[in-house]
Amino acid sequence: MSEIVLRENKKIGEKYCVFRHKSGLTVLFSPNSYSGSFAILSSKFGSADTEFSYGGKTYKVPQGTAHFLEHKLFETEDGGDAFDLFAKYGASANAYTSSSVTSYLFSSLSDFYVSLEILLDFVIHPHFTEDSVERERKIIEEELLSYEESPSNRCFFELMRCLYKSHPVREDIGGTAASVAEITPDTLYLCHKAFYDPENIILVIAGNLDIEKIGDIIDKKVPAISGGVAEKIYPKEPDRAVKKLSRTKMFSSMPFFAFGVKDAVSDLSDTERNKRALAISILADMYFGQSSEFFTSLYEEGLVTGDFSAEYAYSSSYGHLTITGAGRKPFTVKKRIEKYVKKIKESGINAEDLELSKKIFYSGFIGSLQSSASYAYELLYCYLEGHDPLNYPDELKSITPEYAYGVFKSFFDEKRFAFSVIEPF
Amino acid sequence: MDYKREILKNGIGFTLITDEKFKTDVTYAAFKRGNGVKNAAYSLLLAGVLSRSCEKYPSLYKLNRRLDALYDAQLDCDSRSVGLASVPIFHIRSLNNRYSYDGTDIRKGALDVLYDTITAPKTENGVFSKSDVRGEKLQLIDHINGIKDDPCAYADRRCLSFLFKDDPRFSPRGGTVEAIEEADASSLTEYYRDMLAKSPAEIVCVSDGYHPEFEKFASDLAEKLGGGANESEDGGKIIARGDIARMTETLRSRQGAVRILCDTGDDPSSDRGYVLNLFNEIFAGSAVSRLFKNVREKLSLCYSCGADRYGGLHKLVIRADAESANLAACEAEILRQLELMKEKVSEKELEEGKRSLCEALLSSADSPNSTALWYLIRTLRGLEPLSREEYAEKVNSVTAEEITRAAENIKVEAVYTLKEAENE
Repeated sequence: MSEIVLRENKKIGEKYCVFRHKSGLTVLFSPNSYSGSFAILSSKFGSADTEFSYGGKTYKVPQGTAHFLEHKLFETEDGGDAFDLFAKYGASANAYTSSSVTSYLFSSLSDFYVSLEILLDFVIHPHFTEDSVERERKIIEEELLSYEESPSNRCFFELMRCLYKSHPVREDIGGTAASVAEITPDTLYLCHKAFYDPENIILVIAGNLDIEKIGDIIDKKVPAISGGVAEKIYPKEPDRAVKKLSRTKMFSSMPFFAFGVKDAVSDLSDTERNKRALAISILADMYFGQSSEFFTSLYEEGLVTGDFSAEYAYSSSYGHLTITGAGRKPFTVKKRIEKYVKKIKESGINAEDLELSKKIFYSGFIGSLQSSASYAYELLYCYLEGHDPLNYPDELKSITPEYAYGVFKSFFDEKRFAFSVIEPF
Repeated sequence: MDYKREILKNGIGFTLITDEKFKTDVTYAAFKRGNGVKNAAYSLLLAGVLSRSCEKYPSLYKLNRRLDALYDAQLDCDSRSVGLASVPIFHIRSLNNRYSYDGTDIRKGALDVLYDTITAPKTENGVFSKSDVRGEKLQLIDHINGIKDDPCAYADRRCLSFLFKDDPRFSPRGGTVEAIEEADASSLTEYYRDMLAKSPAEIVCVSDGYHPEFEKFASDLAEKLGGGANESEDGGKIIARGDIARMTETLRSRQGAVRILCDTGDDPSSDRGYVLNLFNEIFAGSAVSRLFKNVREKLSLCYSCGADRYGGLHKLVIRADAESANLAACEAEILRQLELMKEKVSEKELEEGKRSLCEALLSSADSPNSTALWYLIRTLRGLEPLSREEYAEKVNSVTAEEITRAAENIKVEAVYTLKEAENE
C-alpha cells in the first residue's frame, strides 16, 4: 500500500486515514470504538453511465445496466449467493445503485475480516449465466413496476425529463422494462470489465479494526494489475430546462408536484462545484425546508402535506434542485415558489437566518458520525465529491451571506425552472 | 452502558441510559392509552396538533425557529400501537452540549421545548385552536387516503383491519377517516387532559453521561401527570377464527399483494417472544431466509417478501408483493414453506439465524435512538427491561426443536389478497 495519510479534526475529536493500494484501489478507514463495523465498496459506475469509451471503442449500453449488474454480482462461482456467505458469519449485506455509483456493503459485529474477503471476492470476480440473468430480469421488471406506479416517483422523473434533454439522469435508475430486456450477460461482463477495475473502486471501512489486517486482505484479494478504466461520455446539456411543464394523469389520492431548477455545473472545478452545492443546499433548506417560513405557511394553510422537501443533487455532469410535495392546489404552490424567489432576489439574504441554517448543517454532519455505517457513508460521499469531510465545519464558515446571495441570484434563473404535476384521474 | 430505572409515581416510570460514545441526547415521553378506533384517531391527531405549536412558540414557524437555534433539535410527536395500547409518543433528539460552538445550552433548551410541547399547548379559551385541529384533521385524512398510492402499504393496513374486524380493541394506526372526522377542538382537548390525568407513562432519556437536567425534566413532567393503572389489555386473546377466512380486494394497480395472517399461539405476557423472533428470522427475516431464497430468488414469484410479528398480539403477518398474475402461486409456495418449517430446521439455519438476529440487535446499541426505543417498548409492554446482551443470550439458547414447535403452533387464520382491478 502507499503511504497512509492521517486526517484529523481535533476540535470535534474525529479522524480517519486514506491510502492507495498498489492495485489502484483507494481505501478510507475510520477507526472507532462503536460496537458494529461497516464496509462499503463502491464502483464509480452508476445508472447515468450508459455511454463510454473503453479499449479504443465507444459503447452505449441500455438504461438500467448498472442496477442489473448490482443484482447479478451477488451470484457466486458455484451458482450460490453471496448473501449465504455473509450469513454464515452473521454479517448483514446489501447493495444499491445511484446515478453515479454502485455500492456493496455489509455491517458486522464479529468476523469482520472474513466478511471483507467475501465482499472483495464477489464484487471483483463476477459469475453469472444466461439462465440466471434471465431469472433476475423477471425480478427487476416487477421491481420497476412498483416504481412506475408510485405517483411521487413518476412525478420526479417527469420533472427530470423536463429539465434534461438527453442526460441519462432523466431516466429511472433501474431503466424500463424495454431497456432491461436488452441487457445480456455480455453487456454485464463488458461493464464489469470497464468499470470494476480497482482503479475505479473505493473501499471505505469504519470500526474498531486493525488497519494492517485490512491491508493484508486487500493484498490477498485485489489483483495488482490494472486493466484500465472506461471514460464516461455525457451529452452536452443546454443551459436551460428543455420543457417548462409536464402534466400526467394517473391514479393517485391527490395531486403530486415537483418544482425543479437545473444547474450548470460541468465547467466548474471540484472545489467550486462543492462550495456552490453546499451554498445551494443551505439556501434550499433555509427557504424551502421543513422549518422554513415558506413550508410552514403552506402547511398551516393546508396547501401541502407534511411530505415536502427541497433537495439539491449534483455530480460533475449535472446538477438540479427539486422541491417536491403533494397538495390539492399544485399550481398555487408553483406560483408561490416563483413569487418567493423573486422576493428574495430583491430583498437579499438575512445573515442571521443563514447562520441558523449553517447550524442545522453542522448538526447533521456531527450526527452522521454517530455509527460506523453513517461515518463510512459520510467519508464515501465526501471523497466522491472531492472534499475532506473533516473540513466540513470550515467549509460551512466559508458560505458568507454575500457568496450565498450571489449563488442565489445566478441559480434561480427562470429559464432553468420546470414543473411536473401528477393529476389524479 | 449504564442503566437506571425508577418509578416516579403511580404508573410513571423513568429510565436513564448513559454511554459516553453517544453524540446526541434522546428523550422520549410515551403515554399508554386503551386502543380502539377512536383512541387511535385521537392519539395521532393529538400528536399532530401538539407538534404544531405551544404556548411559548405559538406557530409552527416559531417553534421550528427555536429548534433550529438548538442546533436543529428534532421534535417528533407520533402515535403507535404497542400491543393493544395506543401510545402517543413525544420525542426530542438534540446534539450533545459538547458540540455547541456558541455556548448554547442545547440539552436544557431541547428538554424545555419537549416539556412545553406536552404540558403547555397553545389554546384559545381553554381548548386547542380550532384551525390547528381542522388543519391536522385534513392532514391525517389525506395521509390515510394516500396510503392507496402505495399498494404494499395499503395491503398491510387493510389486512390488519380485516383480521381484527371483530375486535373493538384493535385499530390500525390513526383509526379511520370517520373517527377523525368526528373529532373537534373540544373533544380533542378533553382527550389530551384525560391523557395527562389518567394514563400510565414512560420517560426514557439517553445521553453520553449523567446530567441532572434529565432527572429534573422527568420529575417536573411527572408533577403534571396523574399516572394510573394500565387501561390496555395486552394479555387478552384476539377473537379466534375457525376456518381460514379470505378477503380479496382490487386496486387500480398492476402490483398485487398477498398477506397471510397467522395466530402464533404464544402468550404475549410470557416474554418468550425471542423464540418467535428467531423463527421469523429463519423463515422470512433476511436475504437468506427460506421465503426470500425460495419464493423470490428460486421461483421469481415476487419481488419482495417477509413477515412481521405483532408481539403484543400473538400475530404474524406473512407478506409478499408480486404481480397479480403470480399471487396464487406465491401464496401456495409460502404456505408450503410454512409447512416445511414444521418438519425440520437445520443446525446451519439455526446458527445463522441466531447470528444474524443477535448481531443486528447488538449493533443497534450504537444508536441512542434505538437504545431509547428498546427500553421504551419493553417497559410499555410490561416486559422485564432486559439489556440487549441478556436478550441475545436467550436467543442463543433456543433449540431447533423449539423452532419447529413454534412453527407447529402457527395457525393460518386469514388470507388477504390485493389484485389489479379488471376492466380498468
